[in-house]
Amino acid sequence: MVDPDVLKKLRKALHNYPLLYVEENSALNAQASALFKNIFDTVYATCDATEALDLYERYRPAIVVADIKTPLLEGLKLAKNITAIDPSVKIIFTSSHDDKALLHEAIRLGAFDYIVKPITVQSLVDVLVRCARELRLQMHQRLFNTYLQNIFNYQHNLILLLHRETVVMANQPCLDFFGASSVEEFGRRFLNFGDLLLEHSGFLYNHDKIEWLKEAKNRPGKLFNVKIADAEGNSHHFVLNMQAIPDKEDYYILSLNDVTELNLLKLFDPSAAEKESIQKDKRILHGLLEMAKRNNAKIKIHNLYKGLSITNDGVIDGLDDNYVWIKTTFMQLKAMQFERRVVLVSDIFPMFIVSTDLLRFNFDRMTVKLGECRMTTTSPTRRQYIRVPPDAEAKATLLFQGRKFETEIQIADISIKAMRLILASLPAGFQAGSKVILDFVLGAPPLKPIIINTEAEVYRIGELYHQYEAVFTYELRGRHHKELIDYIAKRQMQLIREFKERQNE
Amino acid sequence: MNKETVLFEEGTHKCVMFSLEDEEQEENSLSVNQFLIVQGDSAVLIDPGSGAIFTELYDAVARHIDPRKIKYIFFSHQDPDVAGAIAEWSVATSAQLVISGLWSRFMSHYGLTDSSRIIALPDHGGRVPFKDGFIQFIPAHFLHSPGNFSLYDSRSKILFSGDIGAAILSPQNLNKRVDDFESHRPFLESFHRRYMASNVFCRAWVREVRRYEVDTIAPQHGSLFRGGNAAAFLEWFENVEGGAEHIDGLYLPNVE
Repeated sequence: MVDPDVLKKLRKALHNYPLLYVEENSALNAQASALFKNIFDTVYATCDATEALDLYERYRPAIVVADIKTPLLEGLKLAKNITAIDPSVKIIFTSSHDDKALLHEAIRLGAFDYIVKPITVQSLVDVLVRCARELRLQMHQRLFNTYLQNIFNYQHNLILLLHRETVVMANQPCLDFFGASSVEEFGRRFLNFGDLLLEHSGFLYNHDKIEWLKEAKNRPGKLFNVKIADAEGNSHHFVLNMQAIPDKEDYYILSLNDVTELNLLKLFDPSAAEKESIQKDKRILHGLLEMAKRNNAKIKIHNLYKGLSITNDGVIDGLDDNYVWIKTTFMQLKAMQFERRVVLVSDIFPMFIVSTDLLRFNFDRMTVKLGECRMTTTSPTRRQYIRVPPDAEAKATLLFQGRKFETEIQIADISIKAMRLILASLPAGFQAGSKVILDFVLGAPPLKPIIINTEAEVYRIGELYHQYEAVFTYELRGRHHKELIDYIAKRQMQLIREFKERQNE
Repeated sequence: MNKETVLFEEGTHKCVMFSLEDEEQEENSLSVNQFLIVQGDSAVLIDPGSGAIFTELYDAVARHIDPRKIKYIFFSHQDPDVAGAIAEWSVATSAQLVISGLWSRFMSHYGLTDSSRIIALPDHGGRVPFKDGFIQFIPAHFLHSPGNFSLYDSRSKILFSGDIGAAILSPQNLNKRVDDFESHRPFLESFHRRYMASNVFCRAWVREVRRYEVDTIAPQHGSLFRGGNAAAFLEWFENVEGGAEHIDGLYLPNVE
């Protein structure tokens, strides 16, 4: 009696593979086919080997069970023909005699195994268990080989193939790092890859709010900083790149690039006292750019053209002690050229990098050479809604405590939620949280004119050179809301056209 | 014609079809559909159409969820009747705009220069999980656009197929539902024969789609295919011959 659990597992492992069964004895054929159908979704059964070859050519089953003495086309010849088409097919022979010479010949032709008749269920199950193991290993090998080159350019990276949380393949540098002699030993020692990821501020590891695998799966293509200890217990800083394998659910390729020698760990977790000096440390800044370059990290490049946000991807194209070369799109280079400033953002940077030292544009190579760069914590991306500077004739009036406030007012920018005004002076008692009435007129031709009168709240007040800046938030509804959406979208398009016309300058 | 149909509603998950006609399309008798998936407190808007219907669609969406809660706006491809209002939607919401990586850099022509708002889909597509389910972006390249995706919602089992399944002048478009595939088929034929690149892609798409349990196929133009009609459509589409198969009718023969 075969353990039903074994049969269940066997079905789980093999049901997707089609099976070809060749047996001239029709009673045995029917009986064994019935058993095979409990394991395989698709079974092609035939009594003759010529038809078997036809079936093989048409359906390419992964497993063939054949009587070694099948008439018309001898079993061995069938094996030869099949392995000539695909040497990885698993051919299992059944044989009435324990004929050593015949079996040796079969093995020489690449047969996977054989079963001596009369066939028992147990003997069949045993050989299929071995076959399932082999097919699984073959699949792991194939996945590893197919995806290896697509992902990694660096030989020294640690490379792993994961099935869920379990490591099923690992390259030699990976085994060396963890002091394991084989993948099996590695798998035995570390049951769960997530357990290897150590806690560090801003890094990827399992904690109350994050499961590392879920996070990495949900953000394909994103690079993560991770900390892992080597065999001696020394912590290393790696950049992790995980790629899910299309078609094979729960299989992932991981690449870990060791950037420990760049000494960046402190940058992610500085004490308050260290923060300023670290931010000014040129070596650390250089290390950060080096880490991005090595990992071919995607950099988001941010610019503003008259308040219009222009953002495109770029990469670090070159780096030396004094300069960095950024490669990006033509549009972004033009935006940099107009703004004379650039902000670089990356998933693996703990802060943003800003430069106003734009030294040389090369429009053939689509690069810009930057000199002095610095780190900043002010985000260029923290804009929930699109803001645009309004047209030249836009006007705003402010009513505070029931009275119109007479001063010079200019609208700096506007979104569907807020407006930033530049004021020559501020009324007495005016502060964050103050309620006001805002009247504004937008839409110089060709834009459609709109007049909006709304309650608003002072969100923030700042002081500029001889002027003040105040941000007001409001909740527009109905017609006003939609008119403003339309205005901002059209004003945005107007600025884009203007920017594109200037690109030829 | 009913401009709003709830296709699926269960717990906090809802799928709505809007049928707001773009005047230009009306002349072509190519009825247009826009779709909304609401999942709890967030939503996905699918193929929101051109600027001409923006205001009407915004109001229609607002009847189901605050449009500012839309998390993703999915554009199956780059055509103006699909992505023409990208500027308006990018201003009106803080949603991420999902489109094939092939088209993301062209979006500035529609009024969007901030690529950090765009999720550029790789060719194999991708998946966004949500509570008890997921949405899957399924490759539909060259059917008809070279960078094209369908969207599958695992909770409702609806496949939002974009231009695939579009019907022209079918009387069954009036009730937005295919009652009998065979009588609807003639209205599918000319469109697919001319707009699909090749049968190779039709087969590849059907193969991808069959990985999922699909109850309903909801195209951007025309009527919904449900149950047996969805299966019949897949079977038919698998054998559709497109541009490559009819190349002689598209290019002059070489007579030297």
